[in-house]
Amino acid sequence: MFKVAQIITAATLVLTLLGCANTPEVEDRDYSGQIIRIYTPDVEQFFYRNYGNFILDQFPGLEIDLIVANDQLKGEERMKEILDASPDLVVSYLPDFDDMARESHLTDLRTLLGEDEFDPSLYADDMIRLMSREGSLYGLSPRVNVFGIFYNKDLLDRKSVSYPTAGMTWHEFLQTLAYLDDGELVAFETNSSPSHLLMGIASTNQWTIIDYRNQEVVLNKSDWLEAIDRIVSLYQSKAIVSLGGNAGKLFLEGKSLFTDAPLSLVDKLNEAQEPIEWGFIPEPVGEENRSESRSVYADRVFSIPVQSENKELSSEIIEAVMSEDGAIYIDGSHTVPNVSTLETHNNDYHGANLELFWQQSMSVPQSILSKTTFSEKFIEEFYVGLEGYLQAAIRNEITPEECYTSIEELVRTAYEKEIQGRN
Amino acid sequence: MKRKIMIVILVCLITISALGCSNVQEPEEKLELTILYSSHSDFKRDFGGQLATKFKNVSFKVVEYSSYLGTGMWNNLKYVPQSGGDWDTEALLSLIEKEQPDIIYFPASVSSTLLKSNLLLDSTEFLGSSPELSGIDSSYIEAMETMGDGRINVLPDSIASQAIYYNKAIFDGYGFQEPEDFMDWDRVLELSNMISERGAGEGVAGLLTPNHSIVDLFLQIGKAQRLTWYSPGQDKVYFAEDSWKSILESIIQKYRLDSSLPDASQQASEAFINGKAAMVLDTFHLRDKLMNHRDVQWGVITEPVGQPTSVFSSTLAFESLSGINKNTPNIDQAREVWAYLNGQQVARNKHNANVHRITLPVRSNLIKDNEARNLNAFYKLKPMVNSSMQPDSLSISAESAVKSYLADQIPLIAKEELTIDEAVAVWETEVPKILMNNQ
Repeated sequence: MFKVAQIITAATLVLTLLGCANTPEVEDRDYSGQIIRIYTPDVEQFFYRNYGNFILDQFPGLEIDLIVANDQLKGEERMKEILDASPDLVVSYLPDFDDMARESHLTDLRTLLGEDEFDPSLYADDMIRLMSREGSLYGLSPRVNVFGIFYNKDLLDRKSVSYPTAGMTWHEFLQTLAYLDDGELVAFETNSSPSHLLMGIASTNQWTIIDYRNQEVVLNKSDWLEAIDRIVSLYQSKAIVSLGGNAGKLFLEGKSLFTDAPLSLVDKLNEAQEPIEWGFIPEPVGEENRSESRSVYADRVFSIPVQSENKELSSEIIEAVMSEDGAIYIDGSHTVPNVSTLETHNNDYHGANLELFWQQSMSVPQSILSKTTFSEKFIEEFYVGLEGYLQAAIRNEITPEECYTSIEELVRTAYEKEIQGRN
Repeated sequence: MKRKIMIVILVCLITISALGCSNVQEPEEKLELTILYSSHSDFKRDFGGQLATKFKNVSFKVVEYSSYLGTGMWNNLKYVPQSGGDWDTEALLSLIEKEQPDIIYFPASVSSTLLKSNLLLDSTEFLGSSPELSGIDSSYIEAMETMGDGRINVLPDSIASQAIYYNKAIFDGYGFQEPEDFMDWDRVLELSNMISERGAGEGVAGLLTPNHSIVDLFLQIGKAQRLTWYSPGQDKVYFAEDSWKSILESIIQKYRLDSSLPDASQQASEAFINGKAAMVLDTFHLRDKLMNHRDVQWGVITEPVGQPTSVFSSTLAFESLSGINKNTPNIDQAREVWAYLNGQQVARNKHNANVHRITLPVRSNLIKDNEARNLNAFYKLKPMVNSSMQPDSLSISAESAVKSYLADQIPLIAKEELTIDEAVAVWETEVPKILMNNQ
């Protein structure tokens, strides 16, 4: 018994001496002579401000060999560029990550990071789900951008209208705007043009415009016409106003009931000389799936290619970027105001409560004019034509019905050209 | 007995292990440090989240000086108010008096007022003992020492430095020897004029100076040669002296040659990239542009100096300086933060994230070139600074008024409507009047 106590004592002594030693401080680590090859879609300066400087601070002596993406490339060409560059670590947009994961070019991070070092349950479930494929985790997104609808509480109180809530459809939202249209206050100040607003509604509701199987144009007339009619009349009465690059100006001046904006408006509202009582909710949703949000989307995805020659260091970097320190550091320096995906950080942005946003799913419905499906020429022609017809309807030069007919014809002509081009 | 002692030791050790090894720390009350900085957004851009993770026990309050002084901009490579007037130094001093920031940043051109007002802590000894502050290039430390009359109260956060970029293909094609570091203005202007004459048919300029108007260049060359053109407090200017007239002659010749270029409005950087300029005197930002034009073969040398033996730059400028408030109740913590803000890590990060690299860190070891170009040319010259105790230099508005007058005069000389002698004779009477009216 005495011997056992002696052994326990000795072991405890050793453990005390060893165990009390903390993980080496950043200052004590030395990565001199090590080079990590990172691929990024951002220009050099933005990469460093958003992530690179944090990485260099956390890994003293480390050198970054930065490969900046050619922004002209997309889809398969982009993936080829990434593979040809042979980076150790890839920072990418979500669609490029999707392409890389689908083609099995990425390493499973669950195995690499190790369960002791990395706990996925600490992060937003949806982010982990978006990055996972059949039980494997191929990427991690440290931050998400948030876009939603701001509303002025005082103005709504004055009109005895209850505050809007998450899960409101576009139909309901436009109906509310029409109800609030009093010819004085702007109901909705938006950064979107009429054509972008209409396409936003179409994408959220996943309206199709082409039946690919039969290669036919298939627009649901009643859906499109109702949306066109509503948008045109709200623009005509100036219940909806687009100020272009001056987003949120009227809202900040207390002259607009609603506005759609990213988190940067939160900072402006916090700094406003004449404070406004405001609320912030996710963007309107589709009729079919009210729990699916278009308001929270991944900022950048970190992943490690299968061919990476520096997987261990790459995984250490991902761990650091995903850490608590990373969340605090990047929150203070990121060029675009956004939030960490760490659950302890993602519900608040400088006083704006984001809980409602996380109650919705992060899945982003594919745009009905996806760049991977249509050529840029098709998309450009389509938007120019669409905006022209909508503006003509707003000016009362054509009826909403004629506007719809013109749009249908526009899709048909542009699609025929697209098919001819492919053949 | 032995057993009892052993059990007591064991219990103690387990308790120590359990308590001592836990990483849970009592939440400490944060110390608040106030920093006077141009703006909140500039502070976020320059230091971002670094301070929050580095100093977890400190909260930082930023007081903006731009709301009192207005924002600054680079004009003729001087950091001046965007409004076109002078910095309101009285407003700055009142703001400091009211807010009592622990760390004070201010535009470098008001350093004389700040240093004379004796608001800043003498950091000479601290500079020598702080490992964070080692590595700043000695020429900038010496400049701070000169400004502080032998003592160091402030440090610069960056420098705006220029160098001459030269197009190797043009030099090679025209059979000229490539230029070298420390060439003086006489040689550079001579070379520029020779290339302009040789390249007239192809529209190739000799030397372009995008950061200096022709008048500013005239005054800068004089400054580089340690010439003064006005006497503070006296109604006298010195443009009629032979040395000034000689500079004017070279400048007029350059002006005539540049005016005959077919596309004089083309941006200097574009002209250089397109092979239409043999040399450009510019900041580091041109190097960033050239990184996207790998086909251009270029080199870089120091900005021209006043005399062949000189190692001083007449244009090298500081954007802002910083020091510690003499009245801070938190000297140790303010020093630690100030040292970090002026340290290697922050300088590197700021340079990495700098979108418009007019300025460079005050640490030349951070600037590297994979192709072994002479980028150190941006650091080889020393700044020309004066003691803060010397009489105040000309106000920005008075200098602008004189430059505006000379800008109307120089084309008249170039068009031979005035001779140089006639012009400088008029200037001797007109310029003092302009100075008087703009004091």
